[in-house]
Parts: sequence; C-alpha cells; structure tokens
Amino acid sequence: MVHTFAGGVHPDDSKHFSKDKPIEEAPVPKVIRIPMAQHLGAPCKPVVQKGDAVKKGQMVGEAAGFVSSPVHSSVSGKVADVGQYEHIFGNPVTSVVIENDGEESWADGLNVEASDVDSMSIDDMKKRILEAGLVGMGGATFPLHVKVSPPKGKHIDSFILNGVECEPYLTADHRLMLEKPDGIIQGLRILCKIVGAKDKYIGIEANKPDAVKVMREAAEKVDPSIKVIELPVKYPQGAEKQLIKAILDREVPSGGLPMDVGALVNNVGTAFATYEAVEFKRPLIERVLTVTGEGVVNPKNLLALVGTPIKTLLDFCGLREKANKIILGGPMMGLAQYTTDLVVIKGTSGILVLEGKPVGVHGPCIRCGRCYDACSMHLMPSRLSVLLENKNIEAAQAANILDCIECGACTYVCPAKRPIVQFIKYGKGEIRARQAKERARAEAKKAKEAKEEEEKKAAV
Amino acid sequence: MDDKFLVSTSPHIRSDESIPKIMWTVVLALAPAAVAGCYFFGWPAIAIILGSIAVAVATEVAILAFRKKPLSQALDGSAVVTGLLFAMIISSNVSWYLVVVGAFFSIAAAKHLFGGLGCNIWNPALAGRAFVLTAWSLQMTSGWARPLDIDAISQATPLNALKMNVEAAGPYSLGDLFFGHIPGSLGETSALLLLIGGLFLIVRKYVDWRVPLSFIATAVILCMIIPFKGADAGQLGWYQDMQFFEKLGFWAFSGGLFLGAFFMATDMVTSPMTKKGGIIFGIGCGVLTAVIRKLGGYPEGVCYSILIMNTAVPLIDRFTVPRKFGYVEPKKAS
Repeated sequence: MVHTFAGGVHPDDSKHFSKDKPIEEAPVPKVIRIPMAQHLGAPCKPVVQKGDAVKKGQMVGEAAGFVSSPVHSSVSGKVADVGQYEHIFGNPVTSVVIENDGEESWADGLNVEASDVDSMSIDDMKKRILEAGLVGMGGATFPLHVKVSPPKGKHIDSFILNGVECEPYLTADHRLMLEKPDGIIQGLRILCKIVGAKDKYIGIEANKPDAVKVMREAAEKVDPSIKVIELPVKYPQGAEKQLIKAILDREVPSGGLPMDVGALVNNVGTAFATYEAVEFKRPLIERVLTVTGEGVVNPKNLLALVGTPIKTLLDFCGLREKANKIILGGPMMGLAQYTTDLVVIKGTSGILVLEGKPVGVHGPCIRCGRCYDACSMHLMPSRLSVLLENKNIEAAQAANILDCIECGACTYVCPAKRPIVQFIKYGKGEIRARQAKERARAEAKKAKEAKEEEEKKAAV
Repeated sequence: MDDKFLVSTSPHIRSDESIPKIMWTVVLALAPAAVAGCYFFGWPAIAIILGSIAVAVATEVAILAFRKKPLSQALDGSAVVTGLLFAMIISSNVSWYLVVVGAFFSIAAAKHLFGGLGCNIWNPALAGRAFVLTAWSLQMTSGWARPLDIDAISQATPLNALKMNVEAAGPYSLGDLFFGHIPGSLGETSALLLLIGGLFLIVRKYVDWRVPLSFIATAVILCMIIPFKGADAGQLGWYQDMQFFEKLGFWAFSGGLFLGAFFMATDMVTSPMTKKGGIIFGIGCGVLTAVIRKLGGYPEGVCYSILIMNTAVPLIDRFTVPRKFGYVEPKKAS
C-alpha cells in the first residue's frame, strides 16, 4: 500500500546545501534575549527583573494559564533588561535580556544523571515536561504537556513521530535523526507511555534513505514494534493531517484535532527534547536549526542556544552580496523578516537566506485547476482567491476556507502567480474578527439580560 | 549587503509555470496542423493565419489601452492562440473581411466584453466562428476550399458530402481522412498532426486526457449508433463500402472533432475546474456533436456542441465540488 495523501506539489527540495553537514555547535553569544512568547497560547509573565543573577536553565518567564509554557534562560549571567523587543511576527514582545557570564553554571536540580524512565510515574513525567517548557518544535510550538493530556474520552491508539521535514532547504530534523537516533526513540517511548498509545510510527520522506536506515536500526534495538514508514516525497507530507492520512489512512475531521481520530503527532526534535527533559531534567534551551539558502556562503546545521541573536548565526555562516531575503522557517510557510535583530526561539527550525526578486503583479485566474490538484485539504483555492479578491467573506466561509492549513501549495503552483494563501489568510482573519465581535456581542447581551433579571427581582 | 530586506508573504518560492508559458506551448502544439493547412491549401491559408493573428493581437492591444491596463499583457500569448485557432476553423477561401471581423469579434466581444482573460464563458475562437457563420452564412457553408491538388468539381467536406449525398465528392479513404488530404477548415483536416499536438499537451500536463478521450469516444460511438435523419443521407457508395473500423475512423477523423476535442474543449478558461467535471463536459460535447451531425441541420456539430457545453460549465462546477477532507455531519447546537 502506498502511504500518501491526495494533492500536494513537488518543489525542488534544495537540501543539497546542507544535508551532508553534521550538526555543529553555534557560537555561544555574549548577550541573549528570551522572548515571553515562544509558543501557541498565552505569553509568559517574566519572573525576573533587571539586575537579577540567573543560572543556566532557570525559569525567567512563568506559564500564564494551562495552554502556555514557561521559558528559561539558556546561559548563566545577569539580567540586563526586561522590555519590549522585536519578534518574528512584527509586533514587539516582552523579552528578558541576559548578559552571559560564560560560566555555564546550571540551576540547582537541573541537568541531573539519567533517571530510570521505566519506573517513573506518568504524572512525574508530565510534570517534567511542563517544567521544561516543552513545545512542538516542528514550528507550531503547541505546549507539549497540553498535547499529551487529551481530555477524557479521547483515547489515543497511535503516536506518530514526524521525521518528514517536507519543507525545501531545511535539514535539521534529517541530521538529528542521523546523529541522535537513540534519544529520539527514547523520547517516543516516553510519549507513548504517557498517552498509552500502542502503535508507534515514525514517518520519514524517501529523500532521506540514510535516516530511514538509521532510525529503523535504532528502533529495532529497543522496541521492534516501532514502525518506520518511508513516505513518497511530496509537499506537504509533513503536515499533521496529511501525515495521519498517509500513515493511518484516517482523516482528521474538519474543525477537529488528531486526537479525534485517536492519533497524536510530534516532531522528532520534540521527541528528543522530551528525552532530555524527562531523563535529565534539562529544559528546552537549545535546538538544532539549519542556516541555508542561495544567499548563505557556508550553509550549516547548527545546535544553537535559545536566545542566540540571529545576527550571530548569520555572521557565522556568512551572507552573499545579493542576499536580500531572510526567512525564519522554510520557503513554503516561513516568515520573511524586515530585520535581523531577532533571536532563536523554541520554534526556529531554519533561517533561510535567499537572493529574492520583488513580487510582481499577479494575473487573473485562468481556471487551469492546478490549485485544485495541489490542495491536500480538498478545497477550491482559485474560487476562494476570487471570492476574497471581491471581499465576499460569507461565500468564502461557506467554501470551507477555515479548513485551509496555509501550506502554500496552491500559490506555489499558480501560473498567474496569484497570492492565494495571502487572500485566504486575509479571509480567515476577517472571519475570526467577525466571530470575536459576535461572541462579544452575545456576551454583552447575556450580561445585560442577567442584569435586567436582577433588577426585576429586586423591584418585586 | 545593506540592511534592507525583501518582505513578502509565504510561499517564497514558486513553480516555473506561467500564463505565457502555457499559451506559447499551445501555439507550439497547434503549429504542425497549421503548417499542414498551409501545405494543403496554399497561400490563402498562410495569409489567413497571419492576418487573423495580427488582427487578434492588434485588437487586444487597442482594448487594453482603452481599459488602461498594462500593454505587456498582450504579449502573454492568449491573443495569438485565439487568432490562430480562429484561422484554423474557417475555410481558406473566405473573403479577407470575414477574417478581420471574426478575429476582432473573438477578442473584443467574446473575451474583453466579459472582463478579459479568465472571465469569458465561451471559447473566443468558436464564438468568433459562430458569429461569422451567422453573418456570412452563404460564404461559410457553400464552398469549402479543397486541397490544391484535388481536381474535383464539388467542394463538399466528407461530412457534408455524406449528409447531403453529394455523389461527386470523394472517394475518401481512411488515409486521406487521417492525414488531412480532404476539404475542410484550414486547420482541422490533419487528424494525425492534431493528435500529435494533443498528445504533446497531454504529456506536458496542460491538457487532461480524460476530456478528449470522453469527447471523441462518445461522439464516435453515438455517430455509429444514431441513424441519419432523412432518406438521402449516408448513402454514398464509398462510405457504405467501408469496414466497421474504417467507419469508426471516418467519424473520428472527419470535421473538426480532433481540433475541438484536443484544443477547444480543453481550453482552461471555458472548461470545468475538476477532472470529474471534465469528463461530464467531454461526454456532453460528444453527445451534442453526434446529435447535430446525424439529426441536426448542420453537417458538423463540434463548434456548437462546445459552445453549448461552455454554457453549462458553471453548473457542472457547482455539482463537481471536491469531496471535503474529514467531513463530519454538523452537530446541531443544543
């Protein structure tokens, strides 16, 4: 049976720049900056102030609510400032600036000897995951302790590790699988023990045959029930819903989550971080990322501390004369930045430097249908783009625009160079704003009615 | 490198497909059949092809200027495709003004009155031919050009001859029909070269093979099954003497079926968006072609069948919406 999904596109994988470069340690920065927003959910509240001494791994921002995740200092040193600084989405975010004293002295109780995972209770493991500030490292940065605590009634039978790395140019997961397979497998076992999943899978795209081999051997040593599945190369195979469809042949319902079909998916980097957090009580303070692209002199896979300035990494790898586009993430879904005054955060999987050309004017939709063929969510991208070009939000909502995973395959393939995904993002934003307004109005109405009830009762 | 960066939304890479690439590839695919038309029908054919393209492009430039759109859009090749297709579906012995007016109508009315590229409902070249057929019906139906070396008195196309029982026309062998050595429109006769061009487009993934297959198969099967209306039709000796498979070939290679099936029914703008829709479209065209050929007033039905199915495309699209991913019955709010 061919494990794949309907739709998808085949961009040049452009991985030759860095796939054979072993992971190198990035230069240790003199000053780091820890933003309070490195995850989906409420941003953290800083728990240190200017002048405080901090140790490596010490929490500097506490989780604000259940769907949130603490952030930690990746070096020991002194807090130089707590203020608003540039962030990857363009809005400034509260960040803690720390001067590195170079001592690398860990906070008490962290970075301990390996604990015996098999004798640890599930609650203890979850506690370590929460305290370590683990989030999804594939890019979505969903807090891990929330993900592995599905509500009652959602039974998880399958856990899938995402080693697909379908974005062109990026090779961080590839190198991690080649160099740290045992840690990843151990992380998978920990995650499966926590949620009680019986079936364990690791999905890897066929453009990484060496990783498939290494992961299969590592899995067999420890747990022969782990199935390493080689998947045909197609973008976006690494998207959660498409991965579940390809490996389990189940479709996550519209508006639903993978747990609704009994599955959970995590990036291999997240599994490795889980292993580090649960066995050694190491918080998420470093990660592997790829600095690559035509605009980089020496593309590299780097193990970088969270909080390392992007400028440091770009200087380390060197930029070419014509480099003019800095993208955090991959070329299909990454965010183009207007400044290099940013830092590595938990979700930074890659820094892509391109020699780009300005975007031209797009043409009319010629109804060629390539976007229909490309869409892995079975939507009608060209129709959505035309509806939104004419600001017809209601019709777009009726055409299932909210199901769009914004993978960009439709836009990649459009001969008229229409910015379809941009139209869809605009439409989704409009719909959410309207929904929020509706909710606010409904609540205000309820509050008013409750108040009137009270007054009626008081008058009687 | 100075500190100014290019910022745009994702995705930051694009495929190398473009509208000009598609249009000029279609021109390339039509070229063999167009050149064959010039070979069979001589100088008039060359003049008509060049003239039609020139008028189409000039009209496009003029209208773009009038609509205050960038004139570079005229270079995208779509006007050339329309001009070339229009030339290929008329006979090479028509008057020059018919070519000029038809090409002008195709671009100005059938394309730009609807909003320009991507907005038209009907195939512009076919709409132009329908207009010219109605405006100069005598010229368009009474005398088809014949290949220069055929020394025949009659000037009926094979379909025309068979329907009207024109005894002096033919005999036409299967080879004549396949290679194009027959009277007809200047680009529609050579089934072989149209097939080659069509297969080229299919391999390059500009044409979905389901559409020409369903169109041609449906048309040929129904042409074999549906009897001619009227006692005189279908009586020609050389047709009656054909074997079964030769008759299949007759209905497939005659008239504008190959040109219509490979190049007009597959026009992206005027055909359905999905593959399922394309099959319905192809079958519909095939049915209408056979009905007009056997039961209708004209000897050839490809032009009108495609125009009628173009009208049905929005309806076809509405009923062939892709299956929703992960569809769940909506729960009623309690």
